[in-house]
Amino acid sequence: MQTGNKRGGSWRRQAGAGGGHAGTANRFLDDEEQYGNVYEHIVVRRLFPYLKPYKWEGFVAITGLLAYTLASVLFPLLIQIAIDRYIIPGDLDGLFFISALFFVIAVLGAIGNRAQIYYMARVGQGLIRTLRNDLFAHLNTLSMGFWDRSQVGRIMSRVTNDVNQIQEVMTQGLVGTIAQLLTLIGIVAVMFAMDWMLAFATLVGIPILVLIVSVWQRFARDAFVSVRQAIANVNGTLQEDVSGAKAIQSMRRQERNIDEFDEINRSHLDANIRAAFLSGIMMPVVEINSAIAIGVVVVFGGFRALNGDTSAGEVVAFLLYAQRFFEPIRNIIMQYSELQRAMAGGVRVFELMDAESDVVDKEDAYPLPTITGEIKFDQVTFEYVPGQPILKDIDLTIQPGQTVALVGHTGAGKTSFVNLVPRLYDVTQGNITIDGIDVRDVTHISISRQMGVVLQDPFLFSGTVEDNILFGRPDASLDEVKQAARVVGADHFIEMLDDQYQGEVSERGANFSVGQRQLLSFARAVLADPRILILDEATGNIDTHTERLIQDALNELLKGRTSIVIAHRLSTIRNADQIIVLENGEIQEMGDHNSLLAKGGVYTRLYTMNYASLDDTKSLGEQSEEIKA
Amino acid sequence: MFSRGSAADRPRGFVYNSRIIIRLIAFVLPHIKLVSFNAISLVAMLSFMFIMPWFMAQAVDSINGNETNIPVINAWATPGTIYYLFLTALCLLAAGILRGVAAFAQTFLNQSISQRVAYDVRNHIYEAYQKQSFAFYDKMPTAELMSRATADVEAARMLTSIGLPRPFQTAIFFTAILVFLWLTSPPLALIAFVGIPFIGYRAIKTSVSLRPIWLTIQEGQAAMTVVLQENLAGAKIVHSFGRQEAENVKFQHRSTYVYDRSILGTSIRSTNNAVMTGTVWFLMGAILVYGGREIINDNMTPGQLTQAFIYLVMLTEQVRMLGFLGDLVSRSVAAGERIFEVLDAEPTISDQVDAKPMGAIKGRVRFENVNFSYDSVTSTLTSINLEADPNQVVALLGSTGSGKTTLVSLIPRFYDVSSGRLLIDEVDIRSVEVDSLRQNIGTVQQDVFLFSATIRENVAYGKYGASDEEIERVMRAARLHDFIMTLPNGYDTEVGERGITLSGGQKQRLAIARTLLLDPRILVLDDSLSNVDTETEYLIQQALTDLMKDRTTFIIAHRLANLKRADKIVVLDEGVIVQEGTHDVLLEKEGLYRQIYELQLRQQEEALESSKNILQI
Repeated sequence: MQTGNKRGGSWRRQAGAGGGHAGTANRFLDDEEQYGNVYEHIVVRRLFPYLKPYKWEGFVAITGLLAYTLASVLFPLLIQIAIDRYIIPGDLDGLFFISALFFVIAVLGAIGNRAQIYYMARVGQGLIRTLRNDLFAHLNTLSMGFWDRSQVGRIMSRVTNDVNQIQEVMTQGLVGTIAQLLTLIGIVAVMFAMDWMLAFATLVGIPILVLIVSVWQRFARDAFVSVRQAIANVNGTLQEDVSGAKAIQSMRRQERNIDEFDEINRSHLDANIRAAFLSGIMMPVVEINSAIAIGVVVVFGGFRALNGDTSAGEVVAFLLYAQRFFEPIRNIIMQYSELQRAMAGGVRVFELMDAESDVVDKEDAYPLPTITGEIKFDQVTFEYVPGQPILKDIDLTIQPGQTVALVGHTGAGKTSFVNLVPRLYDVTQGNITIDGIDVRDVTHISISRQMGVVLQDPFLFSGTVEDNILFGRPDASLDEVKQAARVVGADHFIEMLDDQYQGEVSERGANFSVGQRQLLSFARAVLADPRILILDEATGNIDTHTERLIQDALNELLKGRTSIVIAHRLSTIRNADQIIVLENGEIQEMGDHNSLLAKGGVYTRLYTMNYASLDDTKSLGEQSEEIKA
Repeated sequence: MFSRGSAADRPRGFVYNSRIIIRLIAFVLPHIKLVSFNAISLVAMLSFMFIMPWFMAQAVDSINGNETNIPVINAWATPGTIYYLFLTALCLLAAGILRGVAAFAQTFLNQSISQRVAYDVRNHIYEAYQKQSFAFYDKMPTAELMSRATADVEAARMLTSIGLPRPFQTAIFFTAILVFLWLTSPPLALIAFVGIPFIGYRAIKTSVSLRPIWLTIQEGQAAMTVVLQENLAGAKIVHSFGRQEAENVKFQHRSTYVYDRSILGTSIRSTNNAVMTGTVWFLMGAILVYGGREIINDNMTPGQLTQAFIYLVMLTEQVRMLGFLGDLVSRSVAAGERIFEVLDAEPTISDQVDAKPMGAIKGRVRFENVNFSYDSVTSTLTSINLEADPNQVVALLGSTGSGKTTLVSLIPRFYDVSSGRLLIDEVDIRSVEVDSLRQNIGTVQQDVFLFSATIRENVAYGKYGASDEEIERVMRAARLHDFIMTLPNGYDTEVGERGITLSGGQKQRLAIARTLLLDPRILVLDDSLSNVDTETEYLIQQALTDLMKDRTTFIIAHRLANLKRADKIVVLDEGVIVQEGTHDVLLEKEGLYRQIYELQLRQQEEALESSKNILQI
C-alpha cells in the first residue's frame, strides 16, 4: 500500500484546461501530507505505556548505548594521556598499558554497540507490533457508522504508513539521535573538564549555527512539503491513468496524457531540486563552522600549549573531538524531517485509536440466549444525520421462520432496515427486539452468532475455499463444510478445482466468478446455520446456469429460518410470506404478492416499472394517465 | 512473460546483473556534463577533506617543537610561534570553506542527476504504459504497474545517487589512507591493509545474508496489509459473523512473523555493526601502540599520529555507509529488471509499416471467419461471421463468458484477431492506423471509468478543448444537463475521490455524453445495468436512443427494450454464434434465445403483461 496515491493539486487545471494556478499548491494539503512538530507531547505520552513491558530490554539497550558512547568519548582522552604521559616522555611500558586499556574499551564499546542496536530493536519492533495489534483490534470494534464516515484508503494509510513512520524513527532514527546527543554531551563535558577556556573558545560558533539552522528549517520544511505534494500528484496521476487505461485508449487520449504527465513529473523534479538545494546549502554552513572550531583549537590551543597552559596531547584530543562534534549535528539535521513525519504520524494514529464506536455493549449486557427468531420493530426511527430520518416509525413483527421481502427504490431505506437487526447501527428512537429481548441489552457478539448475513456483493477473504465457508463457524468439520457446499450446489465447481476445498481464494475472491462467489457466501451462511438470515440479493448479470443454481440454493438457504431479504428476483418476492414496500423510509404497503398486486398501489407500480421494458412502460404510464382521466 | 512481485528472489548471474546496471547507467549518460562536474566536486571535496588533517598535524608538530613542512607557511613564519599557528588556522579555514562548497556542489549535483534520471525513467514508463494494449492491462494488476513506476524508480534512482558514486568515494578514501600510512610508516600501512579490506568484506557479506531476510519481511508486511485491507473492506461481514476475535488473532500471527524476522535481521545487522566499529577502533589502538613506539624511536611525529587518528575517525563514517551499499545495489538491480520488463514489452497492437489513415467511413462492419484466443490455447471466439450494415443496430446476447465483450473489443482493435479478418467498409482494420480507426469508434464500457477532475473535463476527456456549447448539447442529449445544473458548481463540480460521487445511472449517462461528443460512426456499448430506479432507467434508454441514432451500433444487451429495437440479435454461446435474427423471429424458434428469454427476460414481459391487466381492470 502506498500513501500519496491521491491526486494532489488539480492537474487538469495545471494542464491549462482553464482556471487559475494560484493557490492550488496549498489547496490539497491533506492531513496525509502535513508536517508536524519535532516533538508532540501527546504522542510521546501515549507511546510511553507501550514501552513498559520492555523494561529489561530497555535497560540493556541503554547500558549498551552508554558503553558505546562512553567508549567513543574516551578514546581521544586515552590518546591525550598516551601522548602527554608516555609517548612524549618516552615511556614504552606505559604506552603498552594504555594501549591495552584502549583495546579493552574497544571490545566493551563494540559489545555495547551490539547490545544497543539489538535490544533497542526489540523494544522498538515490539512496541510497533503491539501498537499495530491494538490498532487492528480497535478498528474491529468500530461500528458501521464509523466506516460510513471514513475512507478505507485513508485508514489503511494510517495503519500502515503512519505506523511504519513511527517504527522507522523508533528502531533507527530515534536511537541514533539519542546516541548522538549523548555523544555530543559527553564530548562537551570532557572538553570542559580538560580545559574549560579552550572548550569555550571551540564552541563559540555553535549558537550561530543553531540560529542558522532554525531559520533554515522554516524554508526546508516548505520545500519538503512541496516535494511530498508533488510525489502525491505524480502517484495519483499514475494510479488513475493506469486504472483507467482502457477508457483512455478508447478515447484516444494517450498523447495528451503523456504531455500532461510530463508536466506533473517535471514539477516533481523541480520541487526535488529545490529541496536538494536547500538541504545541500547546510553542508558548507556546518563545514565552515567545523573549520572555525578547528582553527580556534589550533590558534588558541596552540597558543596556550606554547605558553605551557595546556599540553600537546590536549590539543590533539580537542582536534579529535572537534572532528566528531559536527558529525552528530549533521546527522540530527538529517533526522529532523523524519522525526517531524513520525510525530505527525503518531498524532494521526492515536486519533484513530481514540475514535469511538457508536454501538457499544452495555455494562450489564448478557449473551443472547438461543432464539426462535421473532423480530419486532417497535416505533423505530433511524437517522444517520440528525433531523434527516432514513426510517420513520417502523412498526412490524416478523414471525419465526417467516421470509420477508423488502422492496423499494434505491434510497428507500432497505439497507438501513436490515442493518438495524444485527445492531450494526443503533436505532434513533423506538426499539428492536428479538424474541422479546431488546438488542441493546445483549452483547453484540452474541447477536452475531445467531445471525447470518449475505451481501449483494459477496465478500470473500483470501485463504482457502474451506476457510471461507468456515468463516461463520470456525469449529465445523470438513464434512460439514462439504455438506454446506452441497446444500447450495457449490460442490460442483469446488470439486473441479485442483485443490478442491483447499483451493486458493485470492484477494476478494477475484479468481471466482460473481455467481460462484455468491454460492460460496451462501455456503458460508448455511454452515453458520443462523436463526435469522439477512440477505441482500445480487442483481448482477449471472449466466443462465448459475442463475438457476442460485435460485435453488436460495430456497434451501431460506428454509426454516427467519429471513429478511432485500429482493430483486421476482421469484424471491413471489415466494415471500410477506412483502414490505418501503418508500422514503416508511412502510407503504405490506402483504403477499397477490394481495399487493390486487391493491394496484405502490407495489404494482414498482413491479411493473422494474420488470417491464421501458419504452413500453412509458406508454403504460400514459395509458394509466388515460385510464385515470 | 511478466513476473509478479520481486524479481530479486530469483538468483541471476553476474553478467545479467551487470547488464541491468549498464542499462540503468545509460540513463545517466544524457547528463554527462553534470556527472563530470559532480566527479570534479567529489574529488575536490575528498582532497580538502584529506588536506585538513595534514594542516592539523603541522600545527600539533609546531606546538611540540617537531619539524614542520608546509613550504608556504614555513617561508612566512617560524614554526612554534603564534603567528605560524595563525597562518595554519587560516589555511584550515580556507580548506574548510572549500570543502563545504565542494560538498554542497557534490550533494546538489548528485541529487539533480538522480532526480533527472528518475524523471526520465518515470516518463518512459508512463509512455510505455500509454502505448500498451489491452492484453497488457489484463495481465498486469494495477498495483504491480504502480510499484514499477514508483518504488522501483526510486530504487533505480538510489543506484545513481548512492550506488554508483559511493564505491568510488570509498575506494578513493581507502586508498588515500593506505598511501598516507605507507608514506608515514610502512608497517602502519600493513596494519591498515589487513583491517580495511576486512571491513569491506564484512559489509558486503552481511548485506548479502540480510537480503533474503528483508525480502521475507516485505512479504510478511504485504500479508499483514492483506488482512488489514480485507478487514476494513469486509467490516460488515466480520461484524455480522462476530469474527472480530478470530481476525485479531490472524492479524497478530502476521505481525508477529514480521516482528520475528525483523529481530533476526537486526541481530545479524547489529553483530556486523559492532564488528565493523570494533575493527576501526582496533585499528586506532594498533596505530596508537605502534605509532607511539615509532614516535619514541623518533621515526614519526605526534602530528602524524594525530593525522592518522583523524583519518580513522573519518573512516568510521564511510564504513557505516558501506553496510547499505550491497543491499542497495541488489535492490536496484531487481528494480531495474522490473522496469526494463515493462519498457521492453512490445505493444501487441501497433501500426503496420504501410498503414494509412482511415478517413471518413460509412460504417459497414464485417467479421470474416474470425477466431480469437487470449492465450493461444483456449479459443474464445470461433469462426465468427457477422455483418452490420451502416446504421444498423446489432444486439449481442449470451451468458457470462460467451465472448460478447471480446467480440466487440475486436472492432476498435483493442485486441487483434487470431485468424480471419475484420473489415470496416471492406478495409481490413489492421491495414489502417490504429488511432484513425479508433477515431471512428466510440465505446461505452460496462464499468464507466471517470477521472478525478471536473464534470466538464470528464465530458471533454476524449475531445480536448470542446466548447461549453458542445458539452451542454451532449449532456442534454444524455439527459444529465438538468441534474448538473442543480449542483452549486455546475460543470465545475469535481467528481471522484475529492468530489461528489455519481450514481451508477449518472455515470452511465456521463459516459454516453462523452461518447456523443466524439461523434463516432460506429458505436460499441455495454448496457449491463443493474439496479437503477425506474426513472433513471427511463432516462438512460432515452439517452441511448439519441446516441444510437445514425450510427452502426453493437450493443451487449440485457434489457428487453434493447433487444427489441435491434435490427439483428446475435446469440453467442461459448464463443460461437448459435442464433441470429430479430426478436420476433428468434422467439419463434426452439433455442438458446428462447431459454434465456424464459429464464430472465420473461419476467420483464410478464410484469408488463400483468400490469396491463391490472391497469385495465
